[in-house]
Amino acid sequence: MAKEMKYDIFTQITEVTPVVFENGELKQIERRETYSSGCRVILNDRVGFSSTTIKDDKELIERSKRSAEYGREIIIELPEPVEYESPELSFKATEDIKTEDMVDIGVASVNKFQNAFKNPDVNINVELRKNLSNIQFMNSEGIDTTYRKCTTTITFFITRSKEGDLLWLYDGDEAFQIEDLKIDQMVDKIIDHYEKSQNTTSIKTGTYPVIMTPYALPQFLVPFTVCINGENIEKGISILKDKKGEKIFDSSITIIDDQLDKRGTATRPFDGEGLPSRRNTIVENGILKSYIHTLSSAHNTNDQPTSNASRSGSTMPSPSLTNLRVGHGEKSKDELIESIDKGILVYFLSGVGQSNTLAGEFQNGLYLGYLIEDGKIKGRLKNVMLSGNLFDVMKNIGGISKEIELVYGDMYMPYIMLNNVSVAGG
Amino acid sequence: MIKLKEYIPDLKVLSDVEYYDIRLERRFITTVIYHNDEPREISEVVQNGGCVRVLFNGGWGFSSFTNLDNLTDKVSEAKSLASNVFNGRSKILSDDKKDVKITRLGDKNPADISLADKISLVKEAGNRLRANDNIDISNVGYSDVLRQVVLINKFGTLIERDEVLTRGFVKGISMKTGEPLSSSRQANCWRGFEVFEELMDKIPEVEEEIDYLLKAENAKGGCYDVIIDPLLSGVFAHESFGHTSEADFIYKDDRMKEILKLGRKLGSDAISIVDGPINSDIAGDIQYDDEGVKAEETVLLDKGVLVNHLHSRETAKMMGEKLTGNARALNFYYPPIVRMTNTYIKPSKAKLDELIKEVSDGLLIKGSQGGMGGEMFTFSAVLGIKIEDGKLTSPVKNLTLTGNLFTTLRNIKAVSDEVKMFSSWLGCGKNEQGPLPVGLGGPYVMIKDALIGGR
Repeated sequence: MAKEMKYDIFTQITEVTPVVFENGELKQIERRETYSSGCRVILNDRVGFSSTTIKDDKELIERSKRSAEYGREIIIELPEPVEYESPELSFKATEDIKTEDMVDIGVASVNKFQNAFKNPDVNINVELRKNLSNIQFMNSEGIDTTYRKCTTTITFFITRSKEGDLLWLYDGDEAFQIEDLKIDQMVDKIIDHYEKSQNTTSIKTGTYPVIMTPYALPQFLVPFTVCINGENIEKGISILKDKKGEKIFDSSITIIDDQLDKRGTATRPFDGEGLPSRRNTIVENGILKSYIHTLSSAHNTNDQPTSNASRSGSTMPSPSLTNLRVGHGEKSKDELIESIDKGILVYFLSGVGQSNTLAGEFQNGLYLGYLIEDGKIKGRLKNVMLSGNLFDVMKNIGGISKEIELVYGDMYMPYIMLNNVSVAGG
Repeated sequence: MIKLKEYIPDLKVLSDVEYYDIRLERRFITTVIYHNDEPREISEVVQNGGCVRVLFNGGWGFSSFTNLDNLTDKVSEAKSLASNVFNGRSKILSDDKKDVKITRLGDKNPADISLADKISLVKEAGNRLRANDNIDISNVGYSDVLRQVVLINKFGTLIERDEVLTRGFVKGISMKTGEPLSSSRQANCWRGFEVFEELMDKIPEVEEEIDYLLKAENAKGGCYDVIIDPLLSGVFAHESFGHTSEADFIYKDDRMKEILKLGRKLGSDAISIVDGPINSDIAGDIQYDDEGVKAEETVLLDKGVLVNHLHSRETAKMMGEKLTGNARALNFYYPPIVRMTNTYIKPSKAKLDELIKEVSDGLLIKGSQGGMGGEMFTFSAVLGIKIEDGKLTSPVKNLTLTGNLFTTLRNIKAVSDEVKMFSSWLGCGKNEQGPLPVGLGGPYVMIKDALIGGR
């Protein structure tokens, strides 16, 4: 190998075991095994990439070098070996779970729904998974390290079909230990939604206060996550370019990317380029503190690396968030609801990421949400759209809940009340 | 290189199962993506693997892998997984044995074109876009997938594929107003390098659209009569109606079976929707699905009346309907599920001008920046043109169309006379499987009282 060649290789061996229940019945058991290895070569400051599913693929490095001939100029120092620290990512009890155990949990979840509903209109689909992943990372500077991660996931897809009113709900959770899956909580929540949405209602077009629940907040924040992406900063297409140090949200908003959270399933000892995991404050008291970077997007924007390179065995490193934490406030969620004369409580949005997200625009259908009137939750709202600019509406906050919920396995979210959101109703 | 079908082991162990299929696949994927004159990704990727699916005593077992060397074990594993499904009630519809070779390598097989030549054309596309004064940023992507697939099943079917899927996008972004305004054209076809060459001919359409967006004001939210263009009508046919026609959401749900019972009048007389091959090489033209069933033209909605659902072997059997050839898997890693192929709205005899004349206060809406379907749908358009007293007037931007599928089907008042088909870089996503290559399209479609989100 020539002296000026640098490289890193990210190898992933996975074993995924889905157990699938359809309409309350066990239907299918799967086992998926993959090997994939991605090699990035930096040759004369130009980057090339190739990946393979063949073990000991002799041509992997050759292909990477070939594409490096035409590759992007990338002036980065690859990291040298360090001691990595990480919470436990693979528990023996989780690794030892058998498909029979997952079948039992699935049956129990289905029974819980069936006992609660006694309703032939409801269709219950559940999927459990064990996800085992072995990561090996090595680079030209001498890093040669591995880690092992084992999680379990549960996904619910519950439908209630009535003439002229279909309610289809997804929910899911991921955890390092199966007893941490919030199955009972999710079941109760879904049952509650079905009760609350028996009556549908409407709202007139106008501007209203809107509460984003912890389930809707990650969806609502998508334009923000697109705008802080270091590659979009580098390309100059994000509206948050050159906004570091400026106030972008109400001063009550703090957002943290915690790569080493004990419970969050996005935790890993190092990122896709071998940088040790860390805790990044992205927004502090409304002020933009950090973007999320790969080594190259950090270098090209004269910024500090943030260890946010995500990577699989078949993809190049690219910036992405890990465990996301939005800071809590002072009021209870009930106080927030009670403070509203007329407004909307949002659980799920549709059309996420379709609008001009790089400008902070959002235009979302209300997939599941309720009318709040005189401080009380009324019926389900249908045929409603919310739109505006995230960076405008997040400057006018009516309050943040003191309650924080961990949703989808890796996001800690409060309830946030936005004072003025433009609503198109029917 | 060993031929894929030679990896298939002795299958005696499967002699007592109700059904099996085995799919083995080799893929070589080249990707070139440029942002302005800077390469963002240049890569060559090898993906080899396979899967075995077994239906045994009413339960399904599925095993997928990247190591093709121990298939005997994988066959036993899939059967053993299936036997752990207690009280399984799955059944499938059988069909005749088929022996088919599909070879689609296009006029210009990408295997014969150097990486340097692929890169140079991508760069040229970007240069052409940025030569326009209004376009500050170009994003151009090219990708080809050379793939060989072997599929066998219990009925003795053997389908061998040697084919190439070529896709691309050309996108221009203007920063002239301070907010990024973008327009793109995309293609995704079972042909060779010529797919990208033809896509480059659409760059003037991108320029024209950007010009238009620069003059546009923000749309005002509200309820309007709208005419959607062939791309958006295809997005509606696919995202909202098409996904609702997929029988895996229906076949075990008694209420859905009633709501979507064949023979029911769901839409106005103006609307007919079809899924199936269109005898082209567009992304959804698969010829056979991943259960070895021939892909058929399936009329879903005929003058507003529901006449068919989309099926896999299992959903067709359980609902007592015929096979449609819609069981598709993204690749060897996944089992097939019910998916669309090419989904489109049928034309009528009306001219677009005649539709416009009928609108007194409304919008002509064009282009798609993505959509999400189901009963409640939301589609982001690229731009709109106001219609005032039957005439097109000024351009608007930042608009979204949302609505209820069933209400919208009834509110379709007319469609125009010419169908255009589209395929996109990202195709379709369902559950965890995406992007799957699909085609979609239609004529111009006029909808009464549509809900538009603006600013």
